[in-house]
Amino acid sequence: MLTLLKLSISSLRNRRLTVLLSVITIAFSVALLLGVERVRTEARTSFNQTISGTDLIVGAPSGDVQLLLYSVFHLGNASNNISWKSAEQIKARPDVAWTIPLALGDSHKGYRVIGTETGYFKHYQYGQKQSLAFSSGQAFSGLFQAVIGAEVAQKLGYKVGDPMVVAHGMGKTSFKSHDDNPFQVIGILARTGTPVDRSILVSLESLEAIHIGWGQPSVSDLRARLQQRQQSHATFTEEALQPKAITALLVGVKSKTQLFKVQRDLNNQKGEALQAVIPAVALQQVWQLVSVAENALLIVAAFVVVSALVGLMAVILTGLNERRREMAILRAIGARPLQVMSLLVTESSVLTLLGLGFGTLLFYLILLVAAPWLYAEWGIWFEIKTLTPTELNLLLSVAASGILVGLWPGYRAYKTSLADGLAIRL
Amino acid sequence: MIELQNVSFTWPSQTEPTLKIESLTIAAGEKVFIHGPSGCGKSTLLSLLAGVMVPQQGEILIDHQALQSLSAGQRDHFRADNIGLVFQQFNLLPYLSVLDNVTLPCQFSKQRKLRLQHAGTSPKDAAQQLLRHLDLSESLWQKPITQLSIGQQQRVAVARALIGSPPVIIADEPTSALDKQSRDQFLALLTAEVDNSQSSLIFVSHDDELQKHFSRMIRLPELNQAVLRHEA
Repeated sequence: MLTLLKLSISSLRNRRLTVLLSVITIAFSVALLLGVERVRTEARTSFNQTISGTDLIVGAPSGDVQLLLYSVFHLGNASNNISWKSAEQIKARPDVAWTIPLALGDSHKGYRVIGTETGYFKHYQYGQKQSLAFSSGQAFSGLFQAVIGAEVAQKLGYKVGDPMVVAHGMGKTSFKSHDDNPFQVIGILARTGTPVDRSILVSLESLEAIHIGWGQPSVSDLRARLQQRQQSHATFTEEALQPKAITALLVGVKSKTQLFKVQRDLNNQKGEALQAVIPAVALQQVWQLVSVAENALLIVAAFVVVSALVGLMAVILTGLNERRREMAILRAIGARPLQVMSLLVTESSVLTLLGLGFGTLLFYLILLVAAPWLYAEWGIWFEIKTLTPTELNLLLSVAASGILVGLWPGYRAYKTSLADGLAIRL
Repeated sequence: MIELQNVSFTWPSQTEPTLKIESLTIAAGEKVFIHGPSGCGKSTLLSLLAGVMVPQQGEILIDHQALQSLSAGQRDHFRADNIGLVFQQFNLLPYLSVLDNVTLPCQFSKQRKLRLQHAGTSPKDAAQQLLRHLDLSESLWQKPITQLSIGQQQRVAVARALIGSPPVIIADEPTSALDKQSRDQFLALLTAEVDNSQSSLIFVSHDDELQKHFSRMIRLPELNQAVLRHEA
């Protein structure tokens, strides 16, 4: 057996260019397969871990998924707001334990600014019911104080005490800057691996304050607005700072048994139309939507692997004819036809294993390079960890297919070496 | 020693036998020249002697072992242990060095290895000794086969056939690709080494001239009754 392994390795080394190409093809396909699988599962975990402990998300009527996506994942924009009055009413319900208002719409250098209350730091939970923690500083307590997520702090190099300016709308080059009212960083949150890391949290009042005087932006208004602002800066009254509307409200109920009742009440209430969704249910809907794409991606990746293996088979089969001489020599020396066959099976196995090895290596290399980017763009944190059982199973089935791929050329070689015997044909 | 008794072989696709030999005996250590033009059953005879195929009738004994009583796998083993083959051309594996080509049969045959052990040597040492005897200088040993001349390649093939002293060496037109000078040199070295290992040599060629190197010549068309009947 060892002889055969040595022989096939020497033989492979002799044909290293074609062999190398097959290995590269297999490696790329394996890396793709692992990549799709990893992105799929990690995205799922990442999403599932973003919010926990919140019983309901309340927003303006749109879709369950849409509400979940814009309020928690910062994906897309709210179609409408809910009034502050409604928010207060919900908070006042006897079956509601706590609420976290979220006001979205402003940004700072591409990061979302979220207007909320200090309850955010107390009640918001992610992962396995973990609460937010401060890596330095503390929660905001006054106007123009901001708590920033771990990534914001890292990317923008902010420390507690640094000033920052908030702009309206998203994007790094927002043209409407509220630069007359700079914020001060008061606290930095510990990393969570969720969109919180990319958030800037300020009080609802602060958000109101910077919007005073903005109203309907128009160029002709500029001068009047300037004056207005100079006045207002000194005289923010409590009433003026009272928020008028928020984007969404996170709700925690007192008892889980009341969850559905609260949801039903809110969905059916008279007055302002609201929509209340249970995060887990909405997430389930997201997965239903996404699973089609997921499966399609997996199937495509699987087909890429299959085509790489078929390519490998083609390479071995093509080589077979020119190697009839080699087979006859081996037979003359005393190799059995089965050994000649196993020579080719060994060959395809060795190549597949090499492809698997390099593919896995490539996969980790890509992960290493792409993880920060994926995190920055999609907020999905890819931990560099060992292969999961599913991934190992995928690799094992590729290995098994690689051995099977060798069987067909092997069988052909078996037949020809029986028929050719010692006749050396070219 | 090789013995053929009433051997008859018919290819599966044919009705008439290709080879029919009433009796042939080759003594141990004997060097026999088998002469025959193409189409007189030469390759069939060699395939039978090497145990790649078995005759439908009669028996072939090599060192008192009846080949037809062995299974295909056993015959492969038997060949590895007892028969050294040299072909017309392209005898060597292109991806192995000269030395590795020569020692390769020892990987497939325990007997050859054992015989070398009894002689107090290793496959590598034996290979080097054979190569030296066959006039292949040390500078060639690690070279790829493709850099050797055909004459050199054929001598490497002889070394491979002879390693571990199998009792039978079969050479099938090994000199047909060589010029006259290297042909004579090749034969001189071959016969000397076969003598050294006390093997029997069956040398097949269509070239009459070579018979002077051998103690005995057999004309295959005369021996093979299948051919006679065809012509009559």
